[in-house]
Amino acid sequence: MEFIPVYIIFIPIIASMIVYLFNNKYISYLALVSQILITIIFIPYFNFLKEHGIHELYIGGWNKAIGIALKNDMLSLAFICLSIIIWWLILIYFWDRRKVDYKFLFFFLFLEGVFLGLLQTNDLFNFFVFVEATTIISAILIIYKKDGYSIRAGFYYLLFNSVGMIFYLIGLILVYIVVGTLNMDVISNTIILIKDTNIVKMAYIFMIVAMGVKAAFFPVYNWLPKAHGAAPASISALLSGLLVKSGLYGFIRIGQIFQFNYFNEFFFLIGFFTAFSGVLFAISQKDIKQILAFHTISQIGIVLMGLSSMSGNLYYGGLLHLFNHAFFKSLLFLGAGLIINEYKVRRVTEIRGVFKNFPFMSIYMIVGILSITGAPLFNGFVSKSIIEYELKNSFIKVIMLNIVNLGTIISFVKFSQIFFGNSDVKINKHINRTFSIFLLALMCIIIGNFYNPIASHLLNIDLPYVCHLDIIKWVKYIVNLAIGYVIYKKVIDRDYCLIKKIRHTKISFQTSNLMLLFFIFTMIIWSSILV
Amino acid sequence: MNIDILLSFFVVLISLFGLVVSRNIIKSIICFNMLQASAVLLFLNFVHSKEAVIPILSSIDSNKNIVDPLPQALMITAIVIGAAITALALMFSIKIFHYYGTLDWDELIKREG
Amino acid sequence: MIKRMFAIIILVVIMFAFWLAYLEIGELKNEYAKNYYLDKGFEETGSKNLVTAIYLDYRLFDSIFEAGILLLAVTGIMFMSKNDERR
Repeated sequence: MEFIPVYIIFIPIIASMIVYLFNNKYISYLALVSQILITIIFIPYFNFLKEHGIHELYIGGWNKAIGIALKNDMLSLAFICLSIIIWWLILIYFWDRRKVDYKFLFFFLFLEGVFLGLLQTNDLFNFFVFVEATTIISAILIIYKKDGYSIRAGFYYLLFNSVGMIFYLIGLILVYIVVGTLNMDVISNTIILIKDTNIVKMAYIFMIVAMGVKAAFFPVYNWLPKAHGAAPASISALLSGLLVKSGLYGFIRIGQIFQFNYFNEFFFLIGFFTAFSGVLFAISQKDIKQILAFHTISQIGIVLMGLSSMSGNLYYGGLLHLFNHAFFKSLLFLGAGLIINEYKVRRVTEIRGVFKNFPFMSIYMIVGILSITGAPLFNGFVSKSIIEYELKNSFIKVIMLNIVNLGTIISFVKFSQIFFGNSDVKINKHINRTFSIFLLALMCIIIGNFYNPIASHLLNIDLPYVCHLDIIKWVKYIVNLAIGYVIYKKVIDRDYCLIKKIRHTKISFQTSNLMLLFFIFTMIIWSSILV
Repeated sequence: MNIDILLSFFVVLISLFGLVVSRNIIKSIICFNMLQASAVLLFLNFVHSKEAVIPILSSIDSNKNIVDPLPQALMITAIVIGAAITALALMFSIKIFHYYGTLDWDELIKREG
Repeated sequence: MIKRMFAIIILVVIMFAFWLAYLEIGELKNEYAKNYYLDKGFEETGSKNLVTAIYLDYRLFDSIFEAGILLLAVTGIMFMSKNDERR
């Protein structure tokens, strides 16, 4: 029971190495075996952690401030639950098309082991090693299909994220000089005395910028649409669902260590700009995967608007939206992958008749679309209404949130035109893919309706003000839908020059680096003016 | 009070300037490698001082002033990670040249198709 | 040209901020880890070379995953350089 954190890191890694060594069809069932083993080991650990609250494991038995520690609390437990579920579903999704030489399974399972390690570590340099390992594996998985577009996207992703993580290293040495240790708990206890010095501020700025690159904040998100649009479908679902959340997880942890409160407004503004530019670009795109990829950016903006206040109900609203987003974005990406596989084209204007060809899967995708736009009875509604309720004191912020919601609805009206009409494409049915999409839709509906026991079980809060049967919310949703449809028909469908120009904006690598420097510059100016 | 710390950070900033300005893919990879190397240099300069000796206990005297051994151990890992990423990035650039025929960032945008 | 001007201005500001942080290093230095390694490094790990003691004993977990990263980079390069003849 005590060594379970280490087991769930190493079991997928060893299974992946064995699968790679013996290129055999029967050995590749070991992937399923390792996944079942992890689930069986994790369930008693979940109950154990619910009683005790925090579990720390010092690797090697060394002193706390000198060795490496693994720590699990309720936040990391929720993330581990989420990642095991999503990895299961994606494993079911591509199970019948395991690539012939099993390298895909090798990278996939290794990524699971490394990601579970990232969520549990309590040491700053260990976190760096895990994040770099995640970056390398993701870059290799993005270029798995080996055509020109994928290789460009993967290269851009690799280089830009690595540049971002070097700033993390520079922040790390600044922290180490003033504190003397690298353990996150000891640092957060010691740094309270010296919080107002310039060194600690510079360290915080550098580390947050690195996490911002990883989590796709406003000026530095340009790697995300290319990478998520070019990857194969299951990897896109994994990247959008989980790996971009590792940046947000790092952001929460670093915020808990340093506890600087005067940056909260700054992150709220960054969240708003992220969300707004995400929907603006999403409205103008025509490729299915690019629309979904820009949506990931805007939903992360909404999560950041929630997480910017580091405590209270707004924080929990942002956290809940993070988990919900994993479910419905994976659902949409897996569905889009199925469609692209059968139709062989990627543009929204050319795909028609999905509802007639895939009746069940269209229903599940419609569930996903209703969740992401915040319809009542689904899980997007819960988290969006928590965030909206907490912001009701400030009128401008409510307007900002509503603009973003409206943009989301417009772009999904555009997305849903694939369901109508007819098409004469011969299709094959895949049971396992429809099954995994069905499970994701089921999770959306369950979390949407049973949010009270889940929230009080996992996060110890109660939400009395989120009500599904409130007539005002229904009316508001339908009015938003109508306004979105009207705006879409009048403005977007004509495809004006401005929209064409937005669609063809390409930001080069040099400009992205300039944006990264600009981000650091803005944080330095903000911190020196406001103190 | 080391002036070397400021000089190492200056090299970091020069590498960042190189990343903003370079038009060739290979130059970007070289600037990235230089960024990694100068970050290592910055790490080692933070704990260095002239009268300190190397952290190897040649005899059992523990009153000497040694250099901090922790950043050196961390930098072994960081150098390996930097080399792995540079190798992977160079392989990607070979494949990009194979598919597109050019190694210029602006030309790649035009030839995307 | 404008990009270069912006970049130079931003880099000058970052350098200035770092210089302000650098002035405070002298009084805020904390040497807890160094004293621990000096006192107890030899008797707990049995190695006279303290860098090796850290790299292979106190922080073995990092070193395992660094070897894993090397494995991944080599496998990735092998996978990428293989030409698919079936196309």
